[in-house]
Amino acid sequence: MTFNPTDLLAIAPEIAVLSLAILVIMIEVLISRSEEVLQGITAIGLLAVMAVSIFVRSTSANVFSGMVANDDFTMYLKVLLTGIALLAILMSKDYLKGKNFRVGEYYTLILLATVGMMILASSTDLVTMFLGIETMSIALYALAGFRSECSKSNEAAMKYFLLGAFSTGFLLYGIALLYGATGGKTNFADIGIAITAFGGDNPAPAYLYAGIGLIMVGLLFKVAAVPFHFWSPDVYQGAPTPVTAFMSAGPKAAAIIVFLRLFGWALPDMSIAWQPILGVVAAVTMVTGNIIALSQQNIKRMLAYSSISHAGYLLLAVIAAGTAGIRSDAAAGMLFYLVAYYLMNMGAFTVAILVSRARLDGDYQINNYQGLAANHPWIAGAMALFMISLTGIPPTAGFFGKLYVFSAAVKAGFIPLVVIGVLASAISAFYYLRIVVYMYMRPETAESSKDLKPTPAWKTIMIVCSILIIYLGVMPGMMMKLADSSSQKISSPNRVVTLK
Amino acid sequence: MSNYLYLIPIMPFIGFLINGIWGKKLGEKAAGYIASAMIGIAFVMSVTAFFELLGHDPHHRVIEKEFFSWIAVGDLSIPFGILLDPLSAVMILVVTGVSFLIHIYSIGYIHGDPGATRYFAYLNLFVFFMLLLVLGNSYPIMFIGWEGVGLCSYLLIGFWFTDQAKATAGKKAFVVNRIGDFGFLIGMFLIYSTFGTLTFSGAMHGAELFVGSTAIIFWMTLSMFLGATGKSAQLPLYVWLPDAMAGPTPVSALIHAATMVTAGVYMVARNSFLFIMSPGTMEIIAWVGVLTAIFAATIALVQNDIKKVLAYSTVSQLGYMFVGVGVGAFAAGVSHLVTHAFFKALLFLGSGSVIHAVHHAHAHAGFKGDPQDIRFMGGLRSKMPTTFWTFFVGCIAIAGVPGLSGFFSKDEIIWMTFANGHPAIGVIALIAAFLTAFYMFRLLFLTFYGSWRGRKDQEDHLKDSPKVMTLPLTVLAVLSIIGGWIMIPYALGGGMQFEHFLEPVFEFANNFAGEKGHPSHMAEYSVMAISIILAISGILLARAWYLKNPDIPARLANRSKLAHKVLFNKYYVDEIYNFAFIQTFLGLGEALWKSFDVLIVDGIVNGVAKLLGWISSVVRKIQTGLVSNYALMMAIGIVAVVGYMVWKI
Repeated sequence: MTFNPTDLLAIAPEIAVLSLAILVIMIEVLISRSEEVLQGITAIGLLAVMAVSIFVRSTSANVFSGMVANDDFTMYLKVLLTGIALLAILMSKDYLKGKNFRVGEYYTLILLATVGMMILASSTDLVTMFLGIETMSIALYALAGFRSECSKSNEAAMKYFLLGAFSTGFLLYGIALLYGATGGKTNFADIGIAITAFGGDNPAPAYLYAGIGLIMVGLLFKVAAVPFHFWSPDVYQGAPTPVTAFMSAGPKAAAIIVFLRLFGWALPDMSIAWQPILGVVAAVTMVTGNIIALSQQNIKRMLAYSSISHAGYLLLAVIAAGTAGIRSDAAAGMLFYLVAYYLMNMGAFTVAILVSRARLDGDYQINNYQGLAANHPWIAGAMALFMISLTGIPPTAGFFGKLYVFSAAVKAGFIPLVVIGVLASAISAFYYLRIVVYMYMRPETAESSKDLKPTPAWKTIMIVCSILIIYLGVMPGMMMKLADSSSQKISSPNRVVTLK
Repeated sequence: MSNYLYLIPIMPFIGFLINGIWGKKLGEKAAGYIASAMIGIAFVMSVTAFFELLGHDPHHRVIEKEFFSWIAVGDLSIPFGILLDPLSAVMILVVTGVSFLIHIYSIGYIHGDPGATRYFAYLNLFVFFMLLLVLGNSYPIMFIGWEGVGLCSYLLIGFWFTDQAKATAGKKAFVVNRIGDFGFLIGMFLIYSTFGTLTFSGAMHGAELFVGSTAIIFWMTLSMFLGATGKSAQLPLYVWLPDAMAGPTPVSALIHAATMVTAGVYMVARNSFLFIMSPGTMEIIAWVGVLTAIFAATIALVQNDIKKVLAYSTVSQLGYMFVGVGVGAFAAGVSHLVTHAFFKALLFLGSGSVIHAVHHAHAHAGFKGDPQDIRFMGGLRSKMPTTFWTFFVGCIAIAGVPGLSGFFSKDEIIWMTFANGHPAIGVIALIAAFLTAFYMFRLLFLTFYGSWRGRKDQEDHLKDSPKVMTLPLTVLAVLSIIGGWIMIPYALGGGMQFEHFLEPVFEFANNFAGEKGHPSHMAEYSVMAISIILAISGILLARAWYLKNPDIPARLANRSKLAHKVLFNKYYVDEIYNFAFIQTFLGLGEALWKSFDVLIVDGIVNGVAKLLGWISSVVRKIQTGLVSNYALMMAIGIVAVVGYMVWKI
């Protein structure tokens, strides 16, 4: 194994975020505990990371002997993940005020989770994948319990940690089995080649199947698919709301991407085995997530179940990627969907924070939205847009996200699954549009006529998300082209140097 | 070079954003200036584009620019692009030019209205959509413009939405246009399924190579023409336009006379390559056009509301345009579109000036009367000299007095009906021309001649409108006079430059139709002579009845009460529609609602909602909150997944 110093350029964004995390914690300890300073540095730092992701590139296709991907697709993902972290930090700014949090630690943990997400999203090797998952998860466990004075938050962290550890065990076991079955391969492309050798007189061993199944379970836990989703509503409700927003967008995106890479690029030859079971999981996830969301009275829990159902839609893209010739369509659809989901979800959580803050008890009941439109036409309008986009109604980004993912699944021949997906989205209209009905058609209450006092940071998030949602909904062409062309050239580097 | 083209529609859109967001802060005056300036810039750019196009050799006068890929799903790819050819160049010139004048006029007209900034925002938005409609290079973009102008039209008709009747008029326009839009959509689907593309150039290419039954072309074009009858107020979907006069008068001038209502004519001209392939549709278009022309003209004879007369006149003139495109004289149809935009905008703005003055006179005298009723006007000639002489120019232009724009364009259409072998249509069109001259001069005489028929205290307060309103009138009057001079036929020693400019656009259609042979100049002279005689006699008859012996019309109306009543009540079409469609549908709707909806649909929907709610409340109980339960569920899931995988081998 050789090490080429220019390989470091390919992980420059990760290095930059990590340095930023260390910088922030050092500043808090040594220089200033001021929230403004720390937040400003983090936000500006993340903007710089975006620039680094775009401009600092390595030309080599085989960096670190093929352990991480280095292509445009990965670059866009890193920009997206940085963007998620950036919005989460903007969202936190005024949320943390008066909560007696150690802001430096808080920002550092978000940054560390982001490093993990980036490694995960760019990994093309089981080892980097595991590294990414654990870096991300440990930071998230701590974030979920960050409201240390609040029992719900502590409970959330504990549950998340216990169940996370449980699933990690299976993931590791699966990795071990896969490693054994393929004769000591960990690289995705190598695994793919090793698997093609099976067949005929040389059938694949049973523990290869078991290994794939266990890895699938580990990843399904991370994307919160049914029946491995139980942690997510409790954790989402208990965690500080900006963290919830961050968790519902970032880790899910990173995990689903590695899911796509592993199953679409390393295991397509096994698709006969895994596509049906994943199909069942996707269908159950879409239906269950949406049905349970119907009876939620707390908007954070409602959005938690909604994010479960969105994981189901995203799984359709993973399934489609197992079919020959469809995987770049599926990847492109997924990239578009992730961007759309990120925008509408972050926007919705921002409004949720705003509305709950105006109440003395600070709770997140859906009743609080009654008559919101009368006094806050702009905020209600933005929320309505987010809800319409989450439902998938044109002309919004959410519509085209669903359209592209579903059409990839149709191309791959999974028409019944798509029908279930469409019906499930029809169910989702009940609870998304209920918020709109509450805002516009119910009489206002003493609570809803209070001034919500959106600060500039929150206003910025709502405006940026709204504009981009409409832009992507009216003119999806540019973004789609970008997703298309980058997904055509997803590199699947394989080891050229054998370990000796 | 032509990169600035997309800025032409963008400018009014920027105006819309500025006035829509900051309008209240800017105030009425600034809003008006910004809105007008945006259109002015768009006009200058349109002129630039026009000259750029002129610089090309006539057969390469097409600039098609694709700015980005708008929608791409599977095989369907719709680029967002702009098509500038002689036809769209003419359209953007007319749209931006006339809108610019009307925007300026509006500054004076809408002055003092609390909703003035909203008004300018809508007006800008309208121009944006109209430019999109005429500049788009594909059916979907045209459709967006098509829907967008409709939207703005309803918003502006119902601008004073505190007034119930006006809100109802907006609703009527909305419903009737939906029927037409449905036709447009069907046509668009048929085009996509037949040619596999949605761009104009693609469809044209498809039409060139088309072999097979023309039945599909017939249905395609007929559906699209249905769309055109809705937007361009033709039989049987014209009913919304007269009611649309409830909106502010400059809106009537811009949307319901000069631009939006001509979109249907533009659409037929744009698709001349398809329409020409279906002689059946062409025949239908020509007949619908001529019947609308005479039908609306007869109604206009007896109306007393100054704007209603002009509204029916617009319906009638639009009929002429469809006659033109229907008999294959696409260039003649478009010519009439252009000249009509000038003189009808002029007439509407003139009527607005009159209404404005009468309204103020009424207000000063503390009198609450209808400021639009011509029976209580008269003698305004001396009170409002500029308005009078510009209105006069508009009247002689539309009546077809030789030398003015209306004469050349309308005569060309009538002549082409004879030249292309539709003498019956030609004869009806000539009669309608006579009626046109008559009702326009009836309107002129009743409004401006004789003496004031209102109260004396009102009369003292009558005065001409401010400069900001009369200036646009003057410009439009000049255009109404000289606008036709580029359309002078060969028979009169002209060059028909306008037709030649448009020729490349209709090349396919003209080649397809084949050479018709050249009828002699003699025939053309005689048709022209007849039409001039009819126009003059119409004017003279109006003079005799309304100026010399004002009691004749009343006697006549008394003698043939029934005929007058039928005309005055517009053939009772509204009542018939109300009875035949609205009441029937309401009845049917109620019956269905009671039986089908309440019992079955509501039952199913509520049932599904209830069922889902019940399932939801049951399933959520799995979420117990206990980690051990969660772990157990996960374990079951793991066993199921791994078990399936291993069993699958």
